[in-house]
Amino acid sequence: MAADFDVAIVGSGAGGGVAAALLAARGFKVALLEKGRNPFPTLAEPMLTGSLFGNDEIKLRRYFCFHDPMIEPRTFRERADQAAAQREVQGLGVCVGGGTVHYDGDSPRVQAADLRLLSTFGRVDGAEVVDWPISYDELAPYYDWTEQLIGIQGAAGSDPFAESRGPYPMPPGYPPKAALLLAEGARSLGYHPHPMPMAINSVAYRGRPACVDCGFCRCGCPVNAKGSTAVTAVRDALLTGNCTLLAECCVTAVETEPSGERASGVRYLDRHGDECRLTAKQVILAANAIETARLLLASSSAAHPDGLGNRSGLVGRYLMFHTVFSAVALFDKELRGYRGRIVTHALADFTVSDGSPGFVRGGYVELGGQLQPVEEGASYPWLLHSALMKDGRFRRNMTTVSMMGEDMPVAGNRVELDPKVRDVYGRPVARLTYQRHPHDQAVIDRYSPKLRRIAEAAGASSVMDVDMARQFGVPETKHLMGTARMGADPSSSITDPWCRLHALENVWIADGSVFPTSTAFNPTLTQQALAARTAAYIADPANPLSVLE
Amino acid sequence: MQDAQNLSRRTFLGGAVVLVCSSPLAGCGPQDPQELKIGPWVIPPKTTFAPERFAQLAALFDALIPADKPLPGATATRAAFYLDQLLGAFRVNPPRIFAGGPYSGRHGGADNFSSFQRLTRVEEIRWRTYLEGSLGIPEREFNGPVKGLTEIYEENLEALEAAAQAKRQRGFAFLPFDERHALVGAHDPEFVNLAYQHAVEGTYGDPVYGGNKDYLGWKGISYEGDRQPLGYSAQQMANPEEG
Repeated sequence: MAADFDVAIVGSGAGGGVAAALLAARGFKVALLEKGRNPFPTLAEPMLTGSLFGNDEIKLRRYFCFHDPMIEPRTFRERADQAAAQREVQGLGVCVGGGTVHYDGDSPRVQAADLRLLSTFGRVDGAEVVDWPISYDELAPYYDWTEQLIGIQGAAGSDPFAESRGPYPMPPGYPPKAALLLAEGARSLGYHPHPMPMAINSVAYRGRPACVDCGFCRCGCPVNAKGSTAVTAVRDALLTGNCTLLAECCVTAVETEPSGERASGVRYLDRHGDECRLTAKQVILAANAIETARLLLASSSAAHPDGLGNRSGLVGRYLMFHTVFSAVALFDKELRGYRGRIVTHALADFTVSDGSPGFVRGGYVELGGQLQPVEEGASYPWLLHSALMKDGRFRRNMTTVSMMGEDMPVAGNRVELDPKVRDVYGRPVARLTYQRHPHDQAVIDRYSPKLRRIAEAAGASSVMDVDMARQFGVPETKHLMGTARMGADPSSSITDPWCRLHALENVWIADGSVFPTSTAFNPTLTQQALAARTAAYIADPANPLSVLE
Repeated sequence: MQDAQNLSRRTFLGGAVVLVCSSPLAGCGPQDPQELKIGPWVIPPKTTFAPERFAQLAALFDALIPADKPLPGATATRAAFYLDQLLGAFRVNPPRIFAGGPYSGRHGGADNFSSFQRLTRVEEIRWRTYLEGSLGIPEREFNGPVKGLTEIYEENLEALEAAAQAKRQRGFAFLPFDERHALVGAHDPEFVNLAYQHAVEGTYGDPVYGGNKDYLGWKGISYEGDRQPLGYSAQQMANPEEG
């Protein structure tokens, strides 16, 4: 019997959207399943106009198009011997476009050394540090293609630690005051700040307008100046006529043929709550590193009793988030960080050895931060409301210097199915077990003073060291990686180097799950480039690069 | 509890019966001739809470975010009405949960915010459960019974009222600020924090949700509010001390 679709893609975010665009353009009949809604009424129209997002903090606080902990709870614990408690942890966008709808748009590439962590920096006790099974050079053409698709602003050559590359699709936009001050401070210390590569239009690009710097990136871009995969890749896929978008459809399992060696399609609940099935020749999972692992574990069968593709028992393991910590800087002068894009500058100086003994590799550093008033007021104790809101320094005079520290891959950090808690669809929720590795703390200890020094050099009158995970009791980085790492050896990895499950020849992963190590950089663009690479391989295994032409 | 029971009955009817107002917001502002006053508290017409309960809510929010120049406080910004409109979100269709987009119309473009959005199936389950409670309905009790926000406020406002009567022999809404403030400080901190979060949202959130009346919350902190479609110019970003 003929399959309903050539490819079923679960999740329309960073990876799923890019895979859909590439495959639909090559004539594949694609079903793109998304459990969230479509907030872009004209997504498949000839002219893209606006969205249902607005400069509206309330809508975000009510989880509009976002992971809602009442709809899909999660449980969290630090150690396996603890009881897991329901916590709001690591939510991402839940709508067409997924996490790229609410992100800052930060889109750096990794360095070649990021994919050769073991070879470059050596073993780390208590962690499974490995080299990626692919090199930067293999990934580079897919970065190039993805940057054109999404529309990335940046200044080639401005980061001396980046791999050599051609020009970005568009130049950097104009920066806010805080970023200029921090960049100048960093430069005075001998560092190399540069414009952050961003998926935000500095000029009109492929039918989408230039950003007007309203400052509400995290609420979703009202005018589609941000290059979410929704308004770039998914839109391209839909305009081919080859892609069927199934929004508000929650996939509950990947179904397999009786042999268990191939997937036959997916089972899902449609927008009315009715159970449906669709068949597909290929299945791509792109639901994010927590949800993809959850779906694999929930798709157990007689042939896969411990979850799909989980004969090694490693599905869900090596969960990584990045270790994010900040120097929160208060200036005497007004900065109004809420004016404009959140982060516009960055530096990579701490990702390479400065020659000092006992070098610990740090991560990419973001320059900039903001606070909108509802978020600000809600963060204060009620008894201090008047004093702090009147003072207003955290709203008007504050900015931040933040590091994305490499997060060690540890087998005990994992996603499992919670034995008790259910979501609104009736499914077991994700139970996260996550504890920092000593290396993560070593990164904080080494680099916190350096971040502080940058803020002081920029003129800050007061600087606070903030460790967000410690402050809130859970890691909240929105960088979800690991849980189905890729590798050549089926006994130590879940997918092959093309991100196909070792155990099933037609099931692929196109999200951060496949990262063997976290890298020292924001992960979205790398997820997208990997998704493009996987999709190109599906389209033409003999010559995937030709698919990009 | 009368409100919760009425909402429950409507839910058991499968959501087919909804009360549709002509305006997204039930109240029409202080200029409305039907406006009531209970003690110092202005009660807009057609509130979800009964007027006496609304007065208690207003008295609570005032204690949490008092006027303190230049801050207008929760009373002037009508933050209690924000919460009241959330509790009665399903009295209109689409419910008053998610405002529309992309523009408010205040800086050009159409007023899209006031066209509230339909909810998806699971969003409706979620918001009805949150506001009304699970009420024994299986699809809402996937992790057991849930007490609704309306009931939580009813219970806690009743407890504050009882405490006021016991200690001061007067209704909570009629106590002076210092006495209300002391009672709130001695109340269940979990509820106080929940109410504070709502008071903040009603003070500084977009006015389309019923609070931040006349943008007083934003004006009080010299905040520009929503900016689309104008955004900020290069000049405004380079000179943040300027308006």
